Amino acid sequence: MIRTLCAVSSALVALALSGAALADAPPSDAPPAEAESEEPIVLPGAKKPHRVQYVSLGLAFSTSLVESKGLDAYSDDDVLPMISVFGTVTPFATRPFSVHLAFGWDWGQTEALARGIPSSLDVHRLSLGIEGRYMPISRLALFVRALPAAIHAEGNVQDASFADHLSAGAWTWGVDLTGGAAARLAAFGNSENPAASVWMGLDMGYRFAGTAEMKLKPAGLTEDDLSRRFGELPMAALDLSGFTGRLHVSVWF
Amino acid sequence: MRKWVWLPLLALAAGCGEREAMWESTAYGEPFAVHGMKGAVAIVDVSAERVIFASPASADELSFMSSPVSRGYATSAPTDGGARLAVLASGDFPRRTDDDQGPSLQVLDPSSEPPAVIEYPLGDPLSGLEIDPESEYAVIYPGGGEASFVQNPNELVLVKLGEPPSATNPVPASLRSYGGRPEGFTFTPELSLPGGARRLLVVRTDRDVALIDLAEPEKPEITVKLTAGAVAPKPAGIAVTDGDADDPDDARIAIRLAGDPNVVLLDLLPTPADKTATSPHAFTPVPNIVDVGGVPTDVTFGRTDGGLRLLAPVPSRKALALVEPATGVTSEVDLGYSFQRISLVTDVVGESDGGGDVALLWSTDSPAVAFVALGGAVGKPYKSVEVRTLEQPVSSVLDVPAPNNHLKILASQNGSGFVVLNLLSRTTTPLLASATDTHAVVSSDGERLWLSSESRSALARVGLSELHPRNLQLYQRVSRVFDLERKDQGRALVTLDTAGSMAFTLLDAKTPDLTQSREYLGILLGDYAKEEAQ
Repeated sequence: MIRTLCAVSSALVALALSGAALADAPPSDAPPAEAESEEPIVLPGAKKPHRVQYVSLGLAFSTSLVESKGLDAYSDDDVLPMISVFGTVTPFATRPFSVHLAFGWDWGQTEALARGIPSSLDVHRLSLGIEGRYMPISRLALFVRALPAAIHAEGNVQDASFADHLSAGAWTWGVDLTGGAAARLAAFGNSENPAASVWMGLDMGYRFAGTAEMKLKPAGLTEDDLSRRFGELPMAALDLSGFTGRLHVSVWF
Repeated sequence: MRKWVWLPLLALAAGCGEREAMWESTAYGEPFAVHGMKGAVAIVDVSAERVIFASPASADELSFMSSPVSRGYATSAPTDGGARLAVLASGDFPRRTDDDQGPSLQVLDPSSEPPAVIEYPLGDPLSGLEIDPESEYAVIYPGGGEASFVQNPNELVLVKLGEPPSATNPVPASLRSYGGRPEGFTFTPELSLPGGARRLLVVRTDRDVALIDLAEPEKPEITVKLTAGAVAPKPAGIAVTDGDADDPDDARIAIRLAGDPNVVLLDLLPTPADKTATSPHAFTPVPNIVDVGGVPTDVTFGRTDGGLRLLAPVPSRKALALVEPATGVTSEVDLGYSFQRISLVTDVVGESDGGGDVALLWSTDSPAVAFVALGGAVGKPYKSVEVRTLEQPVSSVLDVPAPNNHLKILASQNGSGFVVLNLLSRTTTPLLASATDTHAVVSSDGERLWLSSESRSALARVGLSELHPRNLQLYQRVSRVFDLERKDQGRALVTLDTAGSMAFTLLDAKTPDLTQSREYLGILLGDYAKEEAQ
């Protein structure tokens, strides 16, 4: 499902970015756009003032290239797709450059056959960091993000050696360093001073992550299993570091 | 191409990345070899090109490690009393790039982490492996599964396991063939031969026998042609005696022939003076053919008060044939039952009154065992014959190490009955299992017998001093049982369940208690590679 959503969103964002570029391009015979705009706030020295929106919430589809052999048990390839809910809060309104507090929750899943045995990996990522934003025009934002995160990875294997399944899970850390652009798709209220606006964007970068030591043991224990004693088996350590890309849709308030 | 759905900007990157080939293999139905080592269970995980070693560190913990092995696994066998594992691989065939692996014999030592590996490169991929019981040598031979375009089935490779690989190790050897190919190997103990004490490798083909001098394996072998005219008798068994240890001229090899009442005796005599200039060997096998009166099913050498005899049970005559090897004179011991197998137990029960050996005979078609004391009596070539009847014929006999080496475990053919035979008291204690797929394993410290059933997930520990069975019902199936030495000097029982990706159950072997057991599930999914210490 995650892969399908990402495919649709990739097409949409390509259209959105090209649309934003066309919308913001001044006609050759028209006066410059900034000569006609009425901005609510004017900062000294700023070439062009912009509307400040203090909160954003969004949904993202991302993928990472994970070359760690720890992923091999759960994926046929090196791709880890994820869905994200994210947002930003703007503590200090400045422009055209601004700094925002960014937060998010990512969930990724991948499935495969591990030596003929159905297996899956679930990854949860809670992040909190900062986003630097530059808005050269009102319909386009450029940004960079640094997002430290806590990552939990859990692999599951439906093996015949146990009635329920085997599981291996671990916490680790991560930091995303990404940059990208977003285009405004729609605005509600005054076009130049909207109460809310809808944005679509794309960012890319590198995801740094610690190594998750995966230990395989039975899961889904019944009451009868509680008296049994199980040992843990080391699976290949999972390192989720790798290049990442993200498509996102967000609403700014 | 599945990656087309991914982000256009990541299309190039998303297209790369293949996982390791082992994950594409299946844990079900794959070929796995499992060996009980001295202090570990070794699983040859062929698809993953590795050997997994599971060693009981304590009564409560199994430690795992693995060692990579070459591609093209052919076979494997423990050496050095289970301290090391020999793995034969054919490598990549055909070998086209520098990265492709050549055929090799790898010897893995799991006593270090990661396991130490000695690799002996081979010239050609061969699939047969025979390990010397004294672990000095390994013989590699064409086992029939080779992929080579052209092959000489009589080409052998002899590996000196105690020496590192070099220009003179392994040693290639080629048998002179009269149309046969190797089918069995017997490593002799050290024999006093003309030219000095040495060990021999006796190679059985389907029609002749070859002798290789292990002290000088580069010398040509001696092939003893058994074929007589159109008839090609097939060697079926070998027995060896050094005779009198002080006499270098009385070592002998007996060759039992399949479906033939004749036994070939090879006297290993000094090379005749007229041939010493041309023969590379100081000894020459001189064959004698002895008719034992019926088709023998086993042969061994034993001592009577009248001297050395070849002992051959002849089931069709319900007799044991005694052959005086120097003269070929044969006498018979009437046993009353047809016995197929024979083993000397003199080292346990002591010599008979007359100074002869004591032989144990058992039958695969009659419910009986017999003790034959070879000391002489008036008018008889033996002192006594003592028969013990059983409920079932015997399918196999397990030896018990000291301190209970006076016991033998007789497995019956119905798969559920076992008999503990006390060689000293001549008593037979039955042990009856309720499953017909019951297997017996004797601990290497000689203190316990383990009986297990895969279909019942059942396990029983029988203390060999009191013969009291203690039953356990495990959570996992019991496909194999291993009684191992622990790292803390205790004893561990490790059971293997081959279902799924395999599972181990660890118990204390001396006081097995299910409440204190520990299970390890998903063995084949684990990653046990340890980096080599710098």
